[in-house]
Amino acid sequence: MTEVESAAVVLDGTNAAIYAYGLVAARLTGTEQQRALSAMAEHRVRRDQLRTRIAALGATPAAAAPAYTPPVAVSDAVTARALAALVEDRLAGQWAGLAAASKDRARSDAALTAQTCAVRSVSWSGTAPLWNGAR
Amino acid sequence: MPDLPLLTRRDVLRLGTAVVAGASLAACTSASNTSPSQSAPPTPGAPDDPDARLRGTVGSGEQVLSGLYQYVATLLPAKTAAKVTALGARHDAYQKAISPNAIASIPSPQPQPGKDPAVLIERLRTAETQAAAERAQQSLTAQDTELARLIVLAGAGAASAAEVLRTVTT
Repeated sequence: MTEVESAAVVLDGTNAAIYAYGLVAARLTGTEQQRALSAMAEHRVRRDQLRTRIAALGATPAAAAPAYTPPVAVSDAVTARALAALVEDRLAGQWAGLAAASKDRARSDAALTAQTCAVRSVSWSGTAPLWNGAR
Repeated sequence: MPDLPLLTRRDVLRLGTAVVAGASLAACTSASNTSPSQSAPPTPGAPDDPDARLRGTVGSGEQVLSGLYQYVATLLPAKTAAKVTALGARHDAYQKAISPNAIASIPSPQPQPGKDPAVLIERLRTAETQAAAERAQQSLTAQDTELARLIVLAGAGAASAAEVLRTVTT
């Protein structure tokens, strides 16, 4: 997969994560809700950076979908945490793919972002998957 | 924070010897199995693999981490040891994926009873945090994109393990 193709995959995953955190934050309260909103804000920053990067690579970044179907139904705080953990885990795997397709500074930046997503996934689930992005 | 004297000098020497021996045997095995065809792509671990050294370095690092987990698990209460063992087993999977021809022959250091479990967990967490930083750097030199991806994922796994260890109670 080329760098621009990998970046498009991460952009789509990031858009889905932003949407998912809206669902997640609505089911959480207090500190957890703040964590969800903070994560959403971070993903928005990454989304904007990815759009700029894809355009710089000569492609047109895709717009976010109006809505995404979450892989798990969010009905309470428990399922909200599960969804947050899942989207972060998948994003970690997607960022690893973008790291592989990139070189030099872009690769290390993507690698560190993959770690950030992996840690955030664990902070929601309490367990570390063997391979991020495998679910 | 100073490094804890978790491993004796003798243990470290034994670990290092085993890693070098394993890497040498792996290289010999790979060489004997490699097709002489010029058009074939490099096989992981083969002499013409431009990532051979990187695979060995990362694989050895994962083996050492696995050995450290095995050692620490022997010193922890059973319930905590089970959690730690599960985390440590991930490094075997990383090693096999990244350096499939290496021989996993890291002996666990001899148990030293009497260590504070909280200190042992913190030692593991420090090792995982260091491994995460190392993998991010090591991925930069990978020529093979799949190897780069695996190393990045191993780094993500190390970072997440450090986060899990932060919450492990003894």
